[in-house]
Amino acid sequence: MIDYRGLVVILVGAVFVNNYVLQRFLGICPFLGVSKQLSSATGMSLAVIFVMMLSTAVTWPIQTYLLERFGIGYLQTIVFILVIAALVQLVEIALKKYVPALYRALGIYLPLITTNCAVLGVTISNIDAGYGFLQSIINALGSGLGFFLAMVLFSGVRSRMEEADPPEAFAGLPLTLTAAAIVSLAFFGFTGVIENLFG
Amino acid sequence: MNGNRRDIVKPIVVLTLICLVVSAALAFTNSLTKPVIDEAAAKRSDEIRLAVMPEADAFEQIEVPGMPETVSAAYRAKNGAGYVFNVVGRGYGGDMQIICGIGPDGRITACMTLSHSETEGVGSKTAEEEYRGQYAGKDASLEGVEAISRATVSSEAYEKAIRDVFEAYEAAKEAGR
Amino acid sequence: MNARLKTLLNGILKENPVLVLVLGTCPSLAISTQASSALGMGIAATLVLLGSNMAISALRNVIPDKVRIPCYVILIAGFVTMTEMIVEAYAYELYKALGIYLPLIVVNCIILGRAEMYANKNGVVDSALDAIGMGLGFTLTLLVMASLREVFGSGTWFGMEIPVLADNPISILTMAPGGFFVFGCLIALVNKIMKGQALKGARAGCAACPSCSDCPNANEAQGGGAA
Repeated sequence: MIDYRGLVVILVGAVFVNNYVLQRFLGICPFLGVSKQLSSATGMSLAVIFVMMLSTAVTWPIQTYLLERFGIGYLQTIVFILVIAALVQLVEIALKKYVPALYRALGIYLPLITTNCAVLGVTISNIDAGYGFLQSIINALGSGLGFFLAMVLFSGVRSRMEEADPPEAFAGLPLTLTAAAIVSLAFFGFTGVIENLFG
Repeated sequence: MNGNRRDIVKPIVVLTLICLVVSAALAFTNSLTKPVIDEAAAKRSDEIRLAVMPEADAFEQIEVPGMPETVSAAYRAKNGAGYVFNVVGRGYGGDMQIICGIGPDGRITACMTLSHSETEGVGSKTAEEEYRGQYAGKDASLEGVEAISRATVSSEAYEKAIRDVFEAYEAAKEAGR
Repeated sequence: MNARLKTLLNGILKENPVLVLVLGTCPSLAISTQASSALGMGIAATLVLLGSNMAISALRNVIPDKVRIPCYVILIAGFVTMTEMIVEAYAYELYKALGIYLPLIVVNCIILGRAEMYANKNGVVDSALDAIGMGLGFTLTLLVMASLREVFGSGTWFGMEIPVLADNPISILTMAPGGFFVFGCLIALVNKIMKGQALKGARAGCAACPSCSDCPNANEAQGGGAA
């Protein structure tokens, strides 16, 4: 019996209410660095969604059937980050060889994702929240989509900012961060809506 | 040929060695810290059980067959002040760990949220005194308990968890524990 | 002696990891709502940085170039896990406050960045000093951000209430938007102090980010000036 309502709540919640970038501050580095153009923002986000879901699919069984069963839960951090790093390498090699078109679109962002705290964050979150396998995958999908949403929205904001004329000290990163503050504020509005999605 | 072999073997050997040394160091640290962590956790659990049931002196964990699967542990106060149950509520953002005490009169003494992942400012209000305080003194019918407006999922999850606690309570009485 | 002192002080202003090199932004934004947790996070990260810098420096001639990143990651993750265990055992309140950000220290770009930029090219003592300096810079920055957000956002400092401010908190500062904004203002302030002497091409953590060669922003960084 799959609790579809619960899954939708997890998905929508991860995108809007607990948005990884704008509320939980995960994945800030790529957010600030790669969101300048829509094309790179899209490419990075798709790669992130893919790696998040793949990592979850591998780390969740490892945690449940290996780490917890043998009482070596303290190896979680090491094992998870190694799995993510290895997966990213494998995906890169596989894409390059078998789907060169996709590699050209996503490939350059893949190595950056290993140090992206959002990916490690999602895999650990799934365990902390006590999600089952399906719920974890949905959570990973939602978190990635939330990342995507934040990136796309922000690339639009930044392209407008190109024409702005701020005080010298504020130029560049400070201005970007202030814009991020405002976008984050906008997301607050979603909180009440989503909580009552199903009455 | 030899050069090539060395190029592949050395990295793997070094990597494996580092893995082993780090794992060993962690296992060692774990053996030192785990007892401390477990002891502190047990002490905290005792303090929390006393917080929901101040009349009790000490608790002993009991096995109760037929408890709902969401009730993870059952404790009985040694001086007969009642039972305390650990229950998991399936909330909005994940699991809510709740602890609830039921006195000999079949009424709730108090309940508390140990941990949750509910939305800050909305579902998280279930952990606050204003909401959970409603449960004190209620019997199994939970008459008069009101959900938090605009936080229905979290409230309903909490209520269900408390109902599960009553089910466990009945199971404990029946089993004569 | 002077050179050693310079290494140490480097991380505090001139190459401040957070405000100049723009590394470690995630924990800076997330753990800067209370001064006490900020201090705890700073100390934890500094310990990990110290351990990893020294270990990597000591092993720099042993670790083959091909597998250096995985080796660094394993060593760093090892130190992070040890720190996690120690904090959970002896500082439980801090453990709860840091939450998921404690294990996330392993992907804190500061640590991998310094390993790649400094520790694998310098001796153990120098690497240790670099670690302390960077850690100090990180901790101080976090403390400043957290103090601002705590004092004006909740009217307390390290948990102690402040007379007028406690009654008139500007709550938004303790929430997500406040974090972004205060961070932006601090960077603007540092920009002003350094009058643009800050490392150009260090935007968005480029200069010390280990993925430099694969980064789409690489051209931007190289065109931006000296490193």
